[in-house]
Amino acid sequence: MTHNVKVFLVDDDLLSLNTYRQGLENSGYKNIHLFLNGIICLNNLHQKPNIIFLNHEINDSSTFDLLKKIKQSLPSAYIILISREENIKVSIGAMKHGAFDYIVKGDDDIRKMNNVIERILSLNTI
Amino acid sequence: MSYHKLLQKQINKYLPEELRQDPALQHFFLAINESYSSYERDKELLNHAFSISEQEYQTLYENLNREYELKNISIEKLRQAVRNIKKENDSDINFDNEDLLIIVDYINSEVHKRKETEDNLNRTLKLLTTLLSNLNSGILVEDEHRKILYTNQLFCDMFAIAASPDQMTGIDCSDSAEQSKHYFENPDQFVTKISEVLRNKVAVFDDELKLTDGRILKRDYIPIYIDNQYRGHLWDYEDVTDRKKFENQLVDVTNIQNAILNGTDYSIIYTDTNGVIKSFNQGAEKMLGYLSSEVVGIHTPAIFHDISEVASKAKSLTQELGYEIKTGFDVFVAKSRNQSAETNEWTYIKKNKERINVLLSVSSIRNSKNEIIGYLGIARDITEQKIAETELKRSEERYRNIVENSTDIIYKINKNGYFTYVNPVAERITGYKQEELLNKQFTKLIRNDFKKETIIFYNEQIELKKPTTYYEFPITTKNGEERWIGQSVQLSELSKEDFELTALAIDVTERKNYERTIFLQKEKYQNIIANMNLGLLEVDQEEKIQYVNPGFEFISGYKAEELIGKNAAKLLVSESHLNLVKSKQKLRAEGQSDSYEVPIINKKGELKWWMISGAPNYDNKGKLIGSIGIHLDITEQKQLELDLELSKSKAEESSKAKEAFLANMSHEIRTPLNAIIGMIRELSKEKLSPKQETFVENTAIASQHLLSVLNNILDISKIEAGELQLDLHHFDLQKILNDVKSIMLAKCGEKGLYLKINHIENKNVTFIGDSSRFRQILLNLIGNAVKFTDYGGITVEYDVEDLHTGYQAVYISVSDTGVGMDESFLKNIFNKFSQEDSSTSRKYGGSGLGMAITKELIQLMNGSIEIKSQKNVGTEIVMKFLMPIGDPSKLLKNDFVSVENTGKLLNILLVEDNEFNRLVACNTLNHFNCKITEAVNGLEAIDILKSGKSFDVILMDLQMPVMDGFESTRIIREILKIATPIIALTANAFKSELELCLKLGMNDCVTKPFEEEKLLNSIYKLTQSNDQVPILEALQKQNSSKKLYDLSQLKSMSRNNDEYCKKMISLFIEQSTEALSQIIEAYAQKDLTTVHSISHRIKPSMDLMGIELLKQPIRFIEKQSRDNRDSEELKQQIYFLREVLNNTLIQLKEEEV
Repeated sequence: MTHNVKVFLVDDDLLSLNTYRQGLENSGYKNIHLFLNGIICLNNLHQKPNIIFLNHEINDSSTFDLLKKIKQSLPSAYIILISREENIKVSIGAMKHGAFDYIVKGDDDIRKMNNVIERILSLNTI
Repeated sequence: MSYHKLLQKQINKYLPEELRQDPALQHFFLAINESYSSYERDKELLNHAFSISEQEYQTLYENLNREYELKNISIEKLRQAVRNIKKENDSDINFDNEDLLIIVDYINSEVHKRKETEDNLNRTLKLLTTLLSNLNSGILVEDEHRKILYTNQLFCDMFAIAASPDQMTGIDCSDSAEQSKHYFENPDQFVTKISEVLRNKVAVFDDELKLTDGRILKRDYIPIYIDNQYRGHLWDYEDVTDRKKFENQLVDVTNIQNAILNGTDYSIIYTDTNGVIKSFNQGAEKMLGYLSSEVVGIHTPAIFHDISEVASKAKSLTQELGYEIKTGFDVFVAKSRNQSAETNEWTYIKKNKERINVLLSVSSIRNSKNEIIGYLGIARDITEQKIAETELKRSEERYRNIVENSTDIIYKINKNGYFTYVNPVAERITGYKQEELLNKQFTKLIRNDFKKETIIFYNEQIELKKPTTYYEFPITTKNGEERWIGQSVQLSELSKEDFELTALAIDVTERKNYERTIFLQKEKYQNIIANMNLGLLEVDQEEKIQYVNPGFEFISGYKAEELIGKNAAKLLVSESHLNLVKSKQKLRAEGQSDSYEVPIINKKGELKWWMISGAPNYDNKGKLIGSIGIHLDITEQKQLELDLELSKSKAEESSKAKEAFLANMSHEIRTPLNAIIGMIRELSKEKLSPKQETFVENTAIASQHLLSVLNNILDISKIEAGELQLDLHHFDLQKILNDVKSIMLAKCGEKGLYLKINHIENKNVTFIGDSSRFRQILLNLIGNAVKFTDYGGITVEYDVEDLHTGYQAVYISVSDTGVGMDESFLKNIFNKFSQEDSSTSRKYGGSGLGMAITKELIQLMNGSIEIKSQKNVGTEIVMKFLMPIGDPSKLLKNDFVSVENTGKLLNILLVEDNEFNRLVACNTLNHFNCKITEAVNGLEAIDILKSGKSFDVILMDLQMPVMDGFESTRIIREILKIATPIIALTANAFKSELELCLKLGMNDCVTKPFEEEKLLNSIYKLTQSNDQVPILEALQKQNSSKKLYDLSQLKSMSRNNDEYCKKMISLFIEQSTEALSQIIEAYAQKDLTTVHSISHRIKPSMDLMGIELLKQPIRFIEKQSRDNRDSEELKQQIYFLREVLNNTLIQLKEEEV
């Protein structure tokens, strides 16, 4: 089951991308695709990812635009925002724009990401 | 059997019963009975006959009586009649006479008379009948029994009766109404009416009857009474259809006239010949506010006229007509008396005193004899019209202004193509005057080669009656210039045959030129694409070739038809490179473009290198439809590149050889030089004769010079190798200048030159920088100045200027009164080995490296240098630096004094193979309360250390036989685990070597030949327990352990995937290097937001790399910068971050990549 989940990681930081990928791969998720920016991610939505982790830049409203566009193109996708900073506004905004969850970057990002994926899988919709 | 009753009685009386039955008797009786009956019957018959005769007689009698009476009555009546007939003069006749004969005679005569009268009557009747038959009316005369007495032909015609009037006579008409009612529109009403008329027997005239066929008949009914006795009647039918029609029309006309008269807004006033108002219509009432009753009978000019206007009109009329017109009614009618009507504008004054403008038309009214019987004045209120006219005039004015002042050309042309109107812009653009244009045909302006198609275009507009068109064409102006005109032309038809064209045109010359340029450019680029040596390829999303240009055909060797529809990569790219091409194609799908080089096999089978620049190709809706590739054959370049690489590696090899040579040379030269300088220093401390002292001094100068030449050569080598690094610390610029002055003063004194260096008061002169390099620069520049100046002297001036926080601009100028330089030489002054000419070189000496090094150093310090020089006048050199402000409390202590002052005996292990150098070092250090233990090589040193002797500092030469300094240090740190500070002594001042030293766990490095000050300073630093520089302290701590990082976390995460680890490390190096410089720069700009965001970003990766030393500092920096709190501590932490991270990166690069 877990092997079928297609995950998109969107972050402008290649190091973070690779770290996350390794972390998720260690948990058995093998179908992971990395994107350095939102445009490429949008252009690849035809691959129908199940889960998208979206990096949110501080004070960058374009993330919400991206979120909205993804939701429009692929409503079935679960989108999780990863933000560098805890911010109530961002978390509310994320939920409002259709994000499934909101992760604050910290010391155990990968554990959090794994938890979210498990939660999504337990919904049995994928 | 019964018998006659009388018989029966007789029988009964006289005959017995028995006889009675006797048949004979009976028969007898029967016969008697019969007789009886016959008797009875005869009697009855007789009676009857008598009564009849009686009756007849009676009747006769009665008749006779009656006749008699009648006769009497007749006679009486006759008498009466005769009496009646009897004329008055016949009185002598007595009709009462019984003698009827008189009467008869009278009657006879009367009858005779009557006969005559009757004849007359008949004649009259005939006349009447003829008259009636010829009347224009249909006549029907009936008697009292409704039998036709007479009718005429017209009547028959009127009702379409086939019979002739004569045949009609005598016919009963009592049912005629019912029979003929279908002729009439209201048949029932017709019948009712007739019966009513007949009943009333009273004359009825002018009954109008409408017939179904549209005719209208007028009917008169005349009852005929003779002697008061009704004797019949006459119907007179007249066809009044035409008259009626005419009447109706008349009514209409009258109504219309009335409506016009009263319904119109015109004031219509009728006066008699004297000007007395006779009629004043509703329009006039409405216009003037007076009621008709108020003005009728008044003499004009009336209350509603403006007398002064009338007076002035009278004057002008008098003048016009040549005879006097008095102010009065004449003014209005003077002209219309002779002419039919006269129209003038007048002012009317309304009852409410409001004045209105009217157009008054006065005409004379004449009777049939053509005599004037009155005047009719019809006035129309033109006040609004006047206003409208003024308004119109104004708007026309406005419109004309717009047209005339428009920036567009506006013109009109008529159907013959001539201009009928042009605005000023047309003049300006065409260069022709308005008059010139108005005489011109529009087509004359069009440039010749465009004439035909323009005319065709507009002919089409006219033929097809297109209301508006737009067209562009060039015209030739009066002075022969060409201008492009774009015009909208509106076609307006004036009549069936006539039309005009109105054009709104603009000068589109500029745009046209622009378009032409674009067109030419497009053409040009298309030509270029078609003919370029670059191969252009368009492929669809399946990588099938859609288009190739000739260039591609040329470089691939394939023809277009061989390529279209094929997969280019499969056709051309060798198997080994297919993956590369595929990955590029994938990039296109992601919308990325880039270029790459790939080897291909052309049709001939030759190996070619192509540079392919690919980009995704979108259609105009932005949908990806494939990609476009530009292919450049770079086979030759590739060959060159390979050659170049080869020669580069050769060059690099030779450069390395040079570096090695220099390193060796410097070592070989420095070692003895070290000894010489040291020996001379020691010698100068001995008691010498004055002559010996001079020799020693000169020897010292010569060896110092040699050293400086050597240093210069080393410096330039380092610069070339990118090895030169600044040693940043806090320093006092004034002190440096003072040092330089004290050094140079002696030289100046020798040549009799002055040396002035200014002082700065009340300004910060402490900076962070490399003081020794500053000193080097200044010594070089001042040294040059002294060298090239024979008279006068040298002036050094400096100044500082506060800039943004933390920085100052430092200006230093060195000017001399020396020989100066040519401008041409100034260009080359910073080149290596350059002196103005060989003679200069011979005269002044020098390596020619000084300025080159100076320039490099200044650049390294982010400074600039500028030289102004004039031959034989002097040279001025100005330098400018941007320096971070230093902290005076952190100036390096002046040092060996302190060593002396500690009073503490230092145990020093000196490891050095060169005897002379050992001697020099011992001598130097002995002066400063140090106990020296000597070892000839590393092995010896380790033996000594193993024996348990402890030292405060180890001075370690690097290049030694048996065991060199590197190996020794490693053993000391790793095997012996001895943490004693080690100072490397090296003749090799290369950075790479220094880095290696530090990495191996050495604590500092001093280059040979060492200056006492430097060596002592280093020893002092490392032996002081309370070190002031935490960075170095941390480094020392860290240096004693092995690595600054720990990859265990990364490795466990990657499940020991080395490939992945390596990739992550190189990513980390790349990212951190960039991030570090960003942080430093941002902090220098005091941009804490950026510091925060970057530190936040790199924090996880530093954790991943296990850089324990930075775990807390990076969090501190992140937190402080987030709160925007700048502090000394933050600054230190950032410097610490830089030092540690730099070292970590170096380690990572060497160990892991």
